[in-house]
Amino acid sequence: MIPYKHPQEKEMILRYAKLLDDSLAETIILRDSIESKEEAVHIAQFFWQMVDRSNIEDKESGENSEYILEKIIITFMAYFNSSGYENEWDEVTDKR
Amino acid sequence: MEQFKILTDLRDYIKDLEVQKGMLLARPIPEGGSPVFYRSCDVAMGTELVQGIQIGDYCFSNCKNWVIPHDQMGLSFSANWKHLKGIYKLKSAKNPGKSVDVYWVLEKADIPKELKFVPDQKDDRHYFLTVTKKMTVDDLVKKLTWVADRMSIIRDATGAL
Repeated sequence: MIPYKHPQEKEMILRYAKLLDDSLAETIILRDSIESKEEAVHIAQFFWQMVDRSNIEDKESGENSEYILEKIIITFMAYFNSSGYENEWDEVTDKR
Repeated sequence: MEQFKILTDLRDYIKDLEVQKGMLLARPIPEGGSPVFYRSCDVAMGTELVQGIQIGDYCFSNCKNWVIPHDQMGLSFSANWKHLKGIYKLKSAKNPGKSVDVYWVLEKADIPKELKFVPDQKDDRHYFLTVTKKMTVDDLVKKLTWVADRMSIIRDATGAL
């Protein structure tokens, strides 16, 4: 299970999965587990796409999503590390 | 005061510090921000801050005058280069055009009584600066200010390239 600390984390991820039209990300998040290296890479890429898109959304709405995104990345890094996908996370993050 | 011009400089500097002094606990902070407190512009609209502390970071009493001990709640610190790199990249992405400095403190450093660094049970590369005894928010603010005043800074000079 993905160890969310705040329910708003999952709500935001699912909202962005819809905004980015990413049904695979939505399926993985609703399933609450990553089941392959390919899925791990997909979710890591999705996270950074969500960060980029949030800058546009924040500008339009006057919101600031940085704090909740920090909670999400802490949750994701914990999950990728504990489930053996740390390399996939790093591979995607290092390309940023 | 140290500076880094590329991320590998930061990695190498932190690794050297760890060899010399022991584990570091670090927080990347965009320019203009405090290493321990939030401003209203740092958080989502409608998010409640109590004297610069996020409600979600500590366990507050209903009246919000007190902070209740919790060993898995507190300000977040990275205890590992890979963890710090992720948070740093997030802060950079969310603050385009701003430098992001890295504030750090030694894990074994003296910190005020009734504050304690505790590893996240879900990821030991991540620590919380917890409170160990019920205290007023005013007391927590004083203790966090004390910590902030003693944190060292590695300045982001990437923009100077």
